[in-house]
Amino acid sequence: MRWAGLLLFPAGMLILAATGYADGEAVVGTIAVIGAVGWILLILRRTGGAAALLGVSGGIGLFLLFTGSGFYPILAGEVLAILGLEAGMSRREISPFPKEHQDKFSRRMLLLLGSAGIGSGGLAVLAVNLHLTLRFLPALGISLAVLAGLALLLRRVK
Amino acid sequence: MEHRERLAAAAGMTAALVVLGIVVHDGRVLGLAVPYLVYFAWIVLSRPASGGIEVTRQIHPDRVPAGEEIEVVLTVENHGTAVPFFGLEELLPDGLNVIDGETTALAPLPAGGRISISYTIVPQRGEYELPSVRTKRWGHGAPAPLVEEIRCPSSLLVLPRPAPLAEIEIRPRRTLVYAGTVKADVGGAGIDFFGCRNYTPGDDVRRINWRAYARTGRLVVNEYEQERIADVNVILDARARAHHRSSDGDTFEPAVHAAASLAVHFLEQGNRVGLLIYGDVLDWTYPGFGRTQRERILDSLAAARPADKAVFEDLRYIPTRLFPSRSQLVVVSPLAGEEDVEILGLLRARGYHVILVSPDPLDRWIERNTGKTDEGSLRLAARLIRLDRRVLLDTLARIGVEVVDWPVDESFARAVDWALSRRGRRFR
Repeated sequence: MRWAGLLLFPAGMLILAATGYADGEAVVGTIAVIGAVGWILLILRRTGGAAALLGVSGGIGLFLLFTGSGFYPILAGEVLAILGLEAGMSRREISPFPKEHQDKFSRRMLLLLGSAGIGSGGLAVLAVNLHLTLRFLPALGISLAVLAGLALLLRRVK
Repeated sequence: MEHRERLAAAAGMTAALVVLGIVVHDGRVLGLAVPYLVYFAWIVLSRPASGGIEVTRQIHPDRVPAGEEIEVVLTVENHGTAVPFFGLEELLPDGLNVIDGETTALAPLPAGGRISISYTIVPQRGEYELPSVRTKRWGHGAPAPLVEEIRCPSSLLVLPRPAPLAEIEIRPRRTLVYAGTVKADVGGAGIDFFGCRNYTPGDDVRRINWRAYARTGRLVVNEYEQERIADVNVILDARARAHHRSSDGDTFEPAVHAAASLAVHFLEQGNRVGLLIYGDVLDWTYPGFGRTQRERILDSLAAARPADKAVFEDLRYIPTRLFPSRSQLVVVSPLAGEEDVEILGLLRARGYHVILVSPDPLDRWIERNTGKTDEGSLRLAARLIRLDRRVLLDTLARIGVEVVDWPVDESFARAVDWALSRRGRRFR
């Protein structure tokens, strides 16, 4: 968990950086590298604000998408950034507990993270490649279903 | 807090990407929103329900002298649904050093199951409150835990450990009627010769002074100085401004130690002892005798802490009407300045017999700072402080206050023995 928390997010940022450099966006690539280093410092110094870096990675991904970079490396970078954020936060949350207790938890959490990464990545790929021609009523139905789902989620948050 | 942080990040990114994707009509942007949406849904849907947890803490013993070991057992019982991973964290206040055991645990907690942790602490003097424990619950497949602070209030009283003192000679002008160890300046039964008086029928013939009879032809009997108990009031100066405080320690803990040692010593001699803690409030332990009073005084000293309040800035407001006139006062104070000398002089002028015990941290301070700063400046500063202090203490000695100048790194018993015992006075 320790290494996952430390390295997954920077790995995602480095993928984004490599994509940026490869497409001639040196400034964006450099920002991504700085983000990766910032994350490592943040984790090692145990300071807050990790979630804000997710916004940085999202912004970089979006910018690269608009400048015409490939979708899949960006998606991989974003998924790794999300998993890294989660691993980093979990690492901080379990840090007060004894080492042997942490190990059991870490194994389960890494399994969960792996499944979530594959699942969400696969779903995103599916979403991009899915082309549906919808008439008015099915589209309305899907829209209402999505709205209802979001409302349920928001209700859970409250 | 971290749960909210996660939620905010995931929800914010999802919303931003979905809106942007719709605005720019780009399916890839919407596709990029999918991992964030999944993450958001994952956090929200897997959040465990609260409630159903009961925490109990057992502290044994919960009232001890400083330095003793205390065992604490913390038990969590789950009356709700099974929790795949349950984290338990004891929130310990400063001053409680754990020497054995664990104060945290992370393990599965089945429905109806329990987790128990135990640890041993060696606390410093003080009054401690342990209000709650922090719990973290991870639901099935949940990334973010539900963090709660569950109340299970316990308290712990750690008493100062008094040092055994050999002998302290006090001479208050007022004593009580019962026999004790304080010279009463009254003739009668005792050990030290006091004077002679005419024989009256019924006097013990063994006390007749035959030499005086041979010289004067009158029968006289020897009288010895009566030894009685006295009223002794210990005043602990708890004004923060009077105490030297640094990371290496302060003068307050030694002052509490001294007050405890003196109070217990005077009680053991049979005297009636009271305690006044003079800080942000006046904490007055009414005078009394014996073991119960000992425990009352130690309880008060256990809870004592240095504090400041403008109204009690100097010792002017010591409530002297609490102390019987011409009784013995023992003031434990490092002294804040000349104004304190004036007040102690005033007490002396009112007829109290005053002993000042003054903890001196200078030697410790010099030792800790040697090598850290310029040697010459350090020596000069120490010399100036020492001279200043010497002037104050000499002034007090001149007005009849008995002064115990106690370098805190040295034994308190030895300092008292040197300054206040008959033997020490003879050698000085």
